[in-house]
Amino acid sequence: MRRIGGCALLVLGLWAAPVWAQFEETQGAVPRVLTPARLDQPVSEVPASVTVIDRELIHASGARELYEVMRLVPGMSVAKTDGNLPSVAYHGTQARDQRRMLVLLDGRSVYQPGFARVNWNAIPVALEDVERIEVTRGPASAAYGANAFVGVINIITRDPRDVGGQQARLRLGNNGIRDARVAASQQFDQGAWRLSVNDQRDDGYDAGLAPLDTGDSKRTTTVNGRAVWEPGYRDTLTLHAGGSRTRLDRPYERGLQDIAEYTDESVERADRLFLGLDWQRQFSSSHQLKVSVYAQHNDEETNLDLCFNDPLTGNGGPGGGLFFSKELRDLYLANGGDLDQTLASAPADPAVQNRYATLLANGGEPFCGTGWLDVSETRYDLEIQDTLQFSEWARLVAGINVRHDRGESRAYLSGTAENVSHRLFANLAVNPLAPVTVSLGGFWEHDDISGELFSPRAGINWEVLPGHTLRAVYARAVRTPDIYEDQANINLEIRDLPPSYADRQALLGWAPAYFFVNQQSPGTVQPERIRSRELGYYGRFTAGALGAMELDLRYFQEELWDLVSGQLNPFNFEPENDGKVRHRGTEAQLSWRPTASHLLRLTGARIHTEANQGAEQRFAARDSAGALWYWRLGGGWWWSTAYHLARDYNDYPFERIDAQIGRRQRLGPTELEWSLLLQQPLNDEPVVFDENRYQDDQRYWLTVTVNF
Amino acid sequence: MSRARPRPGPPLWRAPAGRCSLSLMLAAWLLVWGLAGEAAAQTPAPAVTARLLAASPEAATHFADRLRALGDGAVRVVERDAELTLALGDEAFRMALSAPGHGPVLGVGVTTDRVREQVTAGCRCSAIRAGASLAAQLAVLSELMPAARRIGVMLGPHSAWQAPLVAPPGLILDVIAVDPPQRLGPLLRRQLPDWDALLLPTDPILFGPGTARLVLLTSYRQRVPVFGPDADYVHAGSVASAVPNSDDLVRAVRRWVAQWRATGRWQEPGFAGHYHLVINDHVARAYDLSVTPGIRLERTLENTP
Repeated sequence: MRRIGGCALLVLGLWAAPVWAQFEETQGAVPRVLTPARLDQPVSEVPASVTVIDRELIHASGARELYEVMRLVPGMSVAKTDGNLPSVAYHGTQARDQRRMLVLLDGRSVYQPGFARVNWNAIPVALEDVERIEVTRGPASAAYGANAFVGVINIITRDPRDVGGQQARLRLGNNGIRDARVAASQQFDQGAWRLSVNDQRDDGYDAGLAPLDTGDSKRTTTVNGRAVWEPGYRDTLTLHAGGSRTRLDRPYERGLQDIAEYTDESVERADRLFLGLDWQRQFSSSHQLKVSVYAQHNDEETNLDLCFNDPLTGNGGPGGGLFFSKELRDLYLANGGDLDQTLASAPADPAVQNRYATLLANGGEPFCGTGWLDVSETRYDLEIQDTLQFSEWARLVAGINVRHDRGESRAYLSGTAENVSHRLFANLAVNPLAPVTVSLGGFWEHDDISGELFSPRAGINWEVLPGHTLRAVYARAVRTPDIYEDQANINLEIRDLPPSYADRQALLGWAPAYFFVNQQSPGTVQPERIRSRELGYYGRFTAGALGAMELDLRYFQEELWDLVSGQLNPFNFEPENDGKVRHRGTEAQLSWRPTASHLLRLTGARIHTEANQGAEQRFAARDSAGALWYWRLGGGWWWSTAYHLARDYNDYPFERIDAQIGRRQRLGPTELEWSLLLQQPLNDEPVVFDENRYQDDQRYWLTVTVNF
Repeated sequence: MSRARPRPGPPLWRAPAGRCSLSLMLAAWLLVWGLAGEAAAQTPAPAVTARLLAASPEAATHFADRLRALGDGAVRVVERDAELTLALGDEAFRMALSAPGHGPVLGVGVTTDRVREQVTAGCRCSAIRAGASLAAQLAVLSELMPAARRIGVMLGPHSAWQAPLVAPPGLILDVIAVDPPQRLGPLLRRQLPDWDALLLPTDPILFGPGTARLVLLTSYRQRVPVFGPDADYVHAGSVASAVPNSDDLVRAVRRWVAQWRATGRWQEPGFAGHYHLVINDHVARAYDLSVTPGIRLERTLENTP
């Protein structure tokens, strides 16, 4: 089913008063408040392995950024793989790409349509605004459509009706950590609203260590708001709005450093906005309709301030303009896009020679300008979902979806491209026998790029003993090519050239002038595909004096094929469906509450990954594990400590221990909360890639929060 | 339990085998009550005559019928010259005690406030309080949600339970005072994240019709199951509750009357001590709480909506 949990309850009618109330004449009656519970699917009946990260776990983890809590999910590869860009991938394959997992924020996809990725820095929500995160481990395209490929992360923000008062928070730490947050909320007669503004800054990995010479600091500002209005007891309207602004220092591109000198730092500037409206109507306790519409837009651009070297002398000078000449582009195309061949043959090409002479005659001013890597994406999405419990033993979720995606980029697309998709989905859960749940689901979709697709899933959950459920699941899923993979036409224009280069037509042979390297997608990329088989166990039980336990085990076999495994950047562009990966392994997660004051959480995964291309194994840790211990000491004090292990990411093991102490106390009408956290790596290895190194081992920060 | 010590009438609770804590607790209760009932039964004394006083004739008639059916002849309802008065509900209890020269009075299903006001030294009265005891509700909670460790309990000035509350081993009872009642919403929002479950006492002000929506919606959104305080709340969306029905109250009356006849004094006001379990199956399922076959037998709501 699409929903695992849900929150819209309903005053449906009246019910008899308590037994002693019959003795009275004026006793009022309690309204019946029911229930999406009837329509929700408990974890033990979901045809998938699910990890739920609630506020307690988030709090205990001490995580500062959203992506960090994903370390609590078994089998999840999590790291800042590329300077300040986090990568999160369930059963990780490629380290830098975020293409194979769907991330939802209150049901709205933050998977960016134009360039197939999830930008974790820019998700417009702070951890403090999150109520819980539900992670479906395994393909879920049957419920969520394309791109729910290896899993789905569903981030559910706090309902404003459950948020009281205002909050201010300040966090200071080493490594340039400077975070601030203010949040406000208000309840009113038929609803509530909340709004938060969060600002986070840090210096990333260490500056001054090559190749991150310029540092990889970042500043992220997010705004997240939600308002709920209940015009009647059957209807709930929810407005979601927010956005983010990120400023990321980006490392220099090695390919460009070979032919040019950077004259300024590269900064990725990104702005995002979203607005969504949900209308939910409870026709009865067994029938619910939800209509969701949202729009989102994001703009990104990264500056490349460069002085191009003369290709013959290797020094600065007007000859650098040759890289933006029409003649060198023609030669590049004539060589079939072979970069090395082009550069080798250029000195002997008469047209290039003439252009070179023209540039030298221009006066000797260095060829310096700015290129912009720009991306603009817009999505409009409408979905109607109907949930019906049509008998005590059968429940159906069905719906339709229409989506319009638009990508615009002068650098990557040389214009605008669009994709419209239409979708139909249905998921049926039946209980033929009381302890058995059979789930059948399918998702049909059609989009302009990939045509028709269908993703099925079948599962059976059998509660063999009370609190102990066995599970078998078969699922197929797809990742559809994004607009960039399908319609890329890379043309990097140079702007802000010195005045002496004003007449580009005369000096460079064309206007506007583009970098000679050009890549064009053939438009033949097919969807990536996955087939998954899973056997699982879910138990929720008490073990005598040992206390309460929740255990999930998963054995899986996943085959991924038609993968786009090659690089897709301006210098290397290989849009081929030639990648294959096979995962098989076992995962476990255990939550154990030995007493009311202690929570121990253990996760572990052992995954055998076979791939026909090395790049598909860089983010695949064979062994990973985590432990989290949370202890409420009393008097408002708490302690938590966590251990994370991944062996290996790209041949580098990741091992770290965290410790946190804090206290929450009331001071009159206000509540003061503070915590001190320390992160200690347990080895000196870089993170995923050689350049990702910290100069100081420890990270620590102090957080002070006032609620009033 | 019921096999070990046969009792007239249906069993109070059919707890499944192996549910040690609940079984032991209930066995202890049954033993105490069974002995009391048996002691009374072994005395070949004539029936105590009682006058029934209720706010509505229908309630009085229904209770009299149940008393005849389950009373084992110990209590006989008469119109006049009764040895004692059984007053059903707050208003009847007040009226019975306000009558000049009233005789012994036993209130049945009387709220905490009325008990405090009316049951005074020398009043020749006692009361079976409305609601269920903390121990019984905790037994229900532990049975259905054995993983729960931190239990939130919200008490107001009118609640059936009053602080300090004693937590059984292994549980932490986080008792929050809600006064005035308008603080309920903010306190729920603040405290719920710290709890595994929320247990509600009978409280006509704090957990009456006007707050059910707030309590149940807020707790459900935060995935914190609510238990208690009564059948009405369970049907509204609470997971489960121990609830005394008419038959349970009749049994409690027999016990109080037997004590009064044996000693000439009323025992202290208290809860009925006999309960039925009501479960909202759908809510329990949404929380993935295991409703065992033994408990399924006792569920009385949601199957007959």
